[in-house]
Amino acid sequence: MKNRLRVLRAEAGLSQGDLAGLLGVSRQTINAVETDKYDPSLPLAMRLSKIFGVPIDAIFLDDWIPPERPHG
Amino acid sequence: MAEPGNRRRLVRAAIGAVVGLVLGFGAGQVGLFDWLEGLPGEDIASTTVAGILLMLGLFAMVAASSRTLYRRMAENYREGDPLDGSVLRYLRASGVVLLLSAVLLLAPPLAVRYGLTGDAAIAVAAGMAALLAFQTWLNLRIMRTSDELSRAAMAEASVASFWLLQLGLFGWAALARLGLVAEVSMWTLMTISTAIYLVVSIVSALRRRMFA
Repeated sequence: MKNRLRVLRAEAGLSQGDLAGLLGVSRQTINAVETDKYDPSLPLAMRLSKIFGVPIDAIFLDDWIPPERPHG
Repeated sequence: MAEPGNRRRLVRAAIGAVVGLVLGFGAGQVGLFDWLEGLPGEDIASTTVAGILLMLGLFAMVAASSRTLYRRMAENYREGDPLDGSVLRYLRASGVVLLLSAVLLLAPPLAVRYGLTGDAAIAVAAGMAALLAFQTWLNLRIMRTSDELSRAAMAEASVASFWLLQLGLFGWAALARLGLVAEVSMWTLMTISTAIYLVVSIVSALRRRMFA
């Protein structure tokens, strides 16, 4: 999934290793998320959201639009 | 003009080719290929897979032997990034698992080649059982202590291997049942399953840029 993690991390002045250390995951995990090679688990996505102080959908970009529900 | 990253990969590939040439030439000189010729095809295949596991295991152990070396070998490792000790521990444990796999794969054909029977064969089997128990414990420990990316890659490799092996096994078994192909031995099946898991797990790790 496309995401703004690299941008947010750079704005926060964190290296991949720094962020990995804060989250308790490997640097490879951060690298894989940033390069769209891995979609993180929900708990990890929520921790990212807390670290950068933004909602999850400000980090992960999803262009899916829900279909209109029929009105009864 | 090649990018710096690609140039570095090309240089490493060239070094690997030269090292491979020297090792291959050395193996020929000490008579390894003549020795292999005396083995049945399935044992040559399992010995080859064991050789690959051995090389990968040694490479992992060397890469994990020092922080400086790991930083130099890992791609995309930015200056100043702290090096998480768990990365080296994971790499070292993976190296041990690979080396144990190589030993376990080499032991039966070597025992047969050197004519070990009776009590000697039982001793080999007992040694293998002990190594297998240790390797299983180590694998579980790696799985428990890994982070979610490593676990996802392992799960993906396991699922893909199972699917490929199930498909291949069913196809071959059906053809063998119809008398169209020969039956294969348990050792051949084991060698094929090890080779498939090896290839699939490397592809899975590469897809997720785990070597970056």
